[in-house]
Formats: sequence, C-alpha cells, structure tokens
Amino acid sequence: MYTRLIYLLAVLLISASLLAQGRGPGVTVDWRRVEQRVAWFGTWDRAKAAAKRTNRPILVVSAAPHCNKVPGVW
Amino acid sequence: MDRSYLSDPEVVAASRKFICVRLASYEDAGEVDFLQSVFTMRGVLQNTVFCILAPDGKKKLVNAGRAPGWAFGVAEDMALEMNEIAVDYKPGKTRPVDLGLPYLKSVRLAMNVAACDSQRLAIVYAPDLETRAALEAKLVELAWSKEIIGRFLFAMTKDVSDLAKVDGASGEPGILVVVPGAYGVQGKQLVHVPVRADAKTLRAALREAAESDAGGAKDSQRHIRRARQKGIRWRTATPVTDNSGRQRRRRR
Repeated sequence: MYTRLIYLLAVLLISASLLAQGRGPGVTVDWRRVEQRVAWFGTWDRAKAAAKRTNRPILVVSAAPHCNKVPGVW
Repeated sequence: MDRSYLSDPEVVAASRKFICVRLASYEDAGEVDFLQSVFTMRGVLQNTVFCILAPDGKKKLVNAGRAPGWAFGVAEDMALEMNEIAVDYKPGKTRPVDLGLPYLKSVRLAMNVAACDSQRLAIVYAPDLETRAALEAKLVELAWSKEIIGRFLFAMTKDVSDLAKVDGASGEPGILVVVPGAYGVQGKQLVHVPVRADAKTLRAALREAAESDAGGAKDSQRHIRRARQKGIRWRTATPVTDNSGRQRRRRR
C-alpha cells in the first residue's frame, strides 16, 4: 500500500515538474525557445586536452543517443 | 539526459567557463572505461553519467551521479556552484585554437546526436591533412565566437564515403553544413563552403544556417513508434550495460 502511494506521489511530482516546464512526459525541449546552448565537446580525448591547455574545469555528461534502439532521441 | 538543467540559461552562461563534454554512452571502448571510472551503480555503467572534474580530468569536484539532479537541487544551484568552481581555476583568456574544434567521434554518430538535439552539423571534409588543417583554422575561430558558440555540432572526415548519407553532398572538399533527418541516419546539405572561401563567407554561411529553423520538440513515444514502423535501428559500438529501462517496462 505504502509502496503504491509513494509511486503515485513520485509520478505526480515528475508530471508536475514536466508540465511546469511546458512539456509532457516523453516530450523533449523545444530548442526554438532556447537562445543559448552549451557548447559540447564530443570526445574525451579532445576535451581532456583542451582542459589541460586552458586550465578549465570539466563538465562531464554522458547519454545514449538512442532510446529503445531508436536513434535521434536522447 | 536531464535537459531541464542543461538548457537553463544560467547553467549555459556558467558553462562558458568550463570545458563541457557530452559523451555518447556506448560508442567508444576507451570512453566507456573513463565513464566507469567516474560513476557506476553496482559496477555497471549507467545510460547517463554526470560529474564535474578538475582540469586534470581526474579529481571530482562534485558528487558524480546519473544526472545533475544527483548533485544539485535545482538548475540555479548548479549554475552557482559552477561559477564558484570556475573562480578557483582562473582560466584567463582562452584562444579558440587552445580549445580546438569539439568534434564528435564520427560523421555517423554526429548526425545522430545532431538529430537528438535538433541542431545543425558542420562537417569538415578533405582527404588530405593539409586541406583539413586549413579548413579547421578558419572554422575554429568562428566555432567559439559569441554568435556561433553552441549553435552547431562538429564532425570531421577524410573519407568521402562518410558523406554518403548526406543528400546534396558533392564530394568536394570543404565545410558542409548539414541538417539531420529526424532519426539522424541521413541528413541534407544546407550549404557547402569550399576550401578557397574566406572567413567572411564562412561566417555568413554559418550565421544563415544557425538562424534557420532548427526543429522543435520531439515526442519520444511517437518518434520510437514511427522508427519501428520504418525499421530504423541504432547499433552501438559497445554493449549497452544499463538495462534498467527495459526491466522497468517488463515489470509493468
């Protein structure tokens, strides 16, 4: 019973968060509304070399550019 | 991937003081090893990883996790922390040439990632090293300029066969600006900037491409359904080790 209540609460919180951002579950960012984006390096070797040359800290993110083996969506 | 943090304007502004790297999780064995050194759950590399590291690429400056939300309550906190971290390192004025071009591993992967981001892709193509170096020298200054930074993804190739999936590509050396298809398995050339073009011409071409419609939000459920109907599948370079999504679906 408690597990179900916690699960329901979590779903409600996540849904509220997504709706607050103007999108439903499974809907990605509308990049047309985003003026500036992070400039990402795409390989670790190049990022590490650039950090060494510039003494900048490194923001590291990884993600799979496929969902259920389908490309084109994070 | 947690987009609510990484598309936040304050986080984006703070990111300009960092080297930001976004790795494709299962596309390079060496990068898999690196990511495993940053964060795993019960020894298993997760679909997503997040951390902030010192310039040596080893020292962790925040708790690693699956997403920024593991370290920061809200995006504003993340931006504040990033600004504080940047003060400690005082990187000073950086020349674009010190950063280099932030290439993805391959044209194939770059086209997919560009589709994920609904973003333009700039491909440097020339069979010989000398020509590629000349093209890169022109592009690198623009890539980190205020008007272009963050608006393109980048790839490089010396092999014309890598352009086979780009409609309109002539095979002439130069910089190709490509808009990816919805699934990132093919793309369309918007513009080709030849080797002899000057920096002003390249700048105008990139500005025009950046200002064209980059595509809106995607409904991932519809996206997946349509891809399955078309028989489109992505093959990763290394095994996918995080099966939590599949297990969740099985339990339903």
